[in-house]
Amino acid sequence: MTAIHAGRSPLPPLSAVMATAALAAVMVVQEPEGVLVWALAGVILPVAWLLLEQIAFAGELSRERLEARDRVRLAVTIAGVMLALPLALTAIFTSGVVTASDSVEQRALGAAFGLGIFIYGNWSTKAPVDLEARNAARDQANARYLGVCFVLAGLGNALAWLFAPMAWAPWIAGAVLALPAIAILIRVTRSRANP
Amino acid sequence: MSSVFKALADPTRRRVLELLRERPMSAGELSDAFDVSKPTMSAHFTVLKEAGLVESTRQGKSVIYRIKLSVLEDALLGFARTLGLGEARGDDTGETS
Repeated sequence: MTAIHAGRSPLPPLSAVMATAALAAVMVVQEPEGVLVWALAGVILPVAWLLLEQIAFAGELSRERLEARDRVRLAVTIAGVMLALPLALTAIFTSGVVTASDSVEQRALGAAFGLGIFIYGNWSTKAPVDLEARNAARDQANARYLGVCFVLAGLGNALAWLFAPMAWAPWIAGAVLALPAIAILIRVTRSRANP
Repeated sequence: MSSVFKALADPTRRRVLELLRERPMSAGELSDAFDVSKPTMSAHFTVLKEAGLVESTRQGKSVIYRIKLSVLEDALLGFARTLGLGEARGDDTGETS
């Protein structure tokens, strides 16, 4: 099987990995008492990236392996963005450059988490369906359903953190996440029941 | 981003994306669904590929197209269809079925 495969560029995942590592390094300097947490946040993604690129997907790759590598690169990019967003906000708040009350910090971090879910949902549907799958059409429809659920959940979560009264915000944001999660669970269960 | 808008501004390309949203299809299957010449269809596929909205894979003698729409691009596709972008200039989809 020959491939017409442009391949996903390694630059976005590499940038996301580097940004996460750099922000974690900043946090180690700013909050040395939390060194273990920041080191873990900064090291886990670069190590995973190196293992994937240098070991799991090294050398000549078939079309299927190239596609698998592309899916992993997209996942690494999204994971990097989801880690880098709260890390960047934490770095800003702890640096003293921006002074904010605890509730503003909580809102900003909550909204960043929601935004991360939104970004993941939006980009997750960009991964093309596996042609070797038993039911490619159904897999494609399921992936789109999951993507839309994540986008709506992320958007609702971020808006709840930004605009709901502080006493209610965690509860509303949690509920907004729970509803699409239940919808996804039902869809996946039904899909597995009718292979 | 402008390449995405350019790709979605044409009703034929939008219809191609809608067909691919159902399932992956070969270039032949897609061409059969439209009453336009193969070079024209090929040009549409090129625009869609350049915008990163579809991916092509050769399987034996046929080329299989798969959709690569993000959720927001999908929403844009819906808006473009609702607004009838590109249809005002009398550019119909040329669809046969």
